[in-house]
Amino acid sequence: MSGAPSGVLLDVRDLKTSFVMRRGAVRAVDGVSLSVERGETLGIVGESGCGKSVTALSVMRLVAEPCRVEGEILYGGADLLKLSMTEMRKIRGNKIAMIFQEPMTSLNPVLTVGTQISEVLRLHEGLGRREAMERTVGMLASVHIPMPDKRAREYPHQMSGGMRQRVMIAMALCCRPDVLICDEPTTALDVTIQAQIISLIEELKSLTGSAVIMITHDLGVISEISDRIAVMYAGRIVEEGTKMELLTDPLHPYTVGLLNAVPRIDRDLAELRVIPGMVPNPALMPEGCGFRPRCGHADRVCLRMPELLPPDGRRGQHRVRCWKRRAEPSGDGSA
Amino acid sequence: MASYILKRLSQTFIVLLGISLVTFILMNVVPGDPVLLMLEKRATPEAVERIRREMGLDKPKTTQYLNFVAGAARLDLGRSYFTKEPVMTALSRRFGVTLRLASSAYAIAMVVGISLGVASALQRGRVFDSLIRGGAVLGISAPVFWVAIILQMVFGLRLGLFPISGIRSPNSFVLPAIALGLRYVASISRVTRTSMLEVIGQDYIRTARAKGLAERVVILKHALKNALIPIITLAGTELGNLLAGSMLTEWVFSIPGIGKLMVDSILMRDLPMLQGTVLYVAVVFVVSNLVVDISYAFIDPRIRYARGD
Repeated sequence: MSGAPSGVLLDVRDLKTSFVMRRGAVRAVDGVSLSVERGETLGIVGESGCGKSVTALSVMRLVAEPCRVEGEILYGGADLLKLSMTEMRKIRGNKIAMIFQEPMTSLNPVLTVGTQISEVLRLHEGLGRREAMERTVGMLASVHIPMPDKRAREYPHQMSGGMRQRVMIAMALCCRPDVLICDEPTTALDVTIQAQIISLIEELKSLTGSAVIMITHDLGVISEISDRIAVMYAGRIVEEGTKMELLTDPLHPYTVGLLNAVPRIDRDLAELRVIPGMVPNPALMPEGCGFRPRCGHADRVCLRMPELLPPDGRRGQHRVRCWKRRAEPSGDGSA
Repeated sequence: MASYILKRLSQTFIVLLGISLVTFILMNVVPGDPVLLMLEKRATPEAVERIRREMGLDKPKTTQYLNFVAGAARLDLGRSYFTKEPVMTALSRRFGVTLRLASSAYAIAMVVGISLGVASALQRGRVFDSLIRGGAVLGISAPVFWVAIILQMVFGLRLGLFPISGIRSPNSFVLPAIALGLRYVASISRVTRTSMLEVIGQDYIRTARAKGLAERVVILKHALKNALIPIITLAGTELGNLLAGSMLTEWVFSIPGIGKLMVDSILMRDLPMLQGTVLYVAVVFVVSNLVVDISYAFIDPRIRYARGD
């Protein structure tokens, strides 16, 4: 089912998603291009409202109506945006699966977790009731749920948040998808549970060879799990590169600001720098670079939208969307 | 679960006792002497006195009430003043008729109401939705006797499709069931629509879609089962309303059910019969509430487990 032999599984090109409102369309995602290879983990990081979840939902074609999704989402030689709903359903939950942010509300309260997982197997793999339930119990065991055969007969409200997220992971991975999209899978969980869930995703990824798209606002999670990182701001990717490139040599003032805003145990809290201002309202987007109103380096050139390009005189996969190309590495990048 | 049902049943008993007392008091303060109504105007005072004694009406009120309760405990509600038929026999004979009428109306209300409500929710904001919602307002507002008469005129007299009174054939129940069920179709479709819209916005519906399930499965399996909880609350109380509140419909269509029996016994001051029918209404409401509470537990596992079963 995988597309190009080069290993690129999912290739999103110039994705634009707008919500159609009474007063006109509001663009939540504005020209995002990204791709993942087999076995690779791509981290997408950004503040709330930057369009990262909408990007993920657009790939699944699950954005709530009324909306408009443009661009290309290439998977297995086809453009997902051009598939019929019937064809798209054969891919959802089977070839491309998704884990959501809220484990407490993402499972159906009136169906047992066993039913909810085995339903996927019966749908996509055509298994019978008993066979599907056996596989389900196996899946629950593989996400380290104790007494899986008993747990399979329980309802979501009988489980903790961490346990429910494990169920969601089992559900997403039971058909061994090519691509697993995780939308803030640990945000609603305790820190200790977060670490368990992250290592579980890592573990299962190495077993299934799935590509993972990890969406989060948590740089700690991203730096732990990602091979490559894309930083999103105001509906666009502003910087992209390998984990090393991005964390050791951030170029975009926003990325620099994000890294400075991470609390570190070896530093005084007084050194913690916040990025002033707020994410712009998608309906009132500033002219040119979206980060301009919050950026200490902005001048007249920033009134035009910069392209996402390799920075001057550099090799590698690093790309940045900034006229200034290189901000001061640390310094007063966010002043 | 069993202990819960037992607890509810004992509460039921107390409620019924209270209702019987209230009925008894009301019957005794209402003006009008049943003995005088029974006998002709020229009956001698001696005859009146004799009948009064025969019926136990000469005893103190407390004794009368206690006798009634003692009888009721043995399922003996006394005899009709006029037909001399035991009240229990009359009730059970007529209950069959009311049950047939109410259950036909109920089936119409549930099937049509839930289908229209789901369809309306899925078509939210479109013409179909507006039509259903407008129709529901009409259905709730229209008085049942008016609907009944319109149905009689159109389908009975003009088109001659269905009988307009009596219960000689199964066809006789069609118009009364529609007349009785219409307002419940309306209220159930409204609640279903609201409940479905709320459920469809939930995260787990998005999860169901993300699994690749067909929209039909998402709606019927994942959404409707959750949406049923408020629908059952309404449907349960309305089952009580239907079984106890078919008086007008039965009257207009001359159906010999309990509703008509109740109206007749009010008009004739047939005290034992009236007490029996009021008690019947009370039992119907209490039992249907109990059934609602128990059926919640079957639909919503969170309630089932909270009760420690």
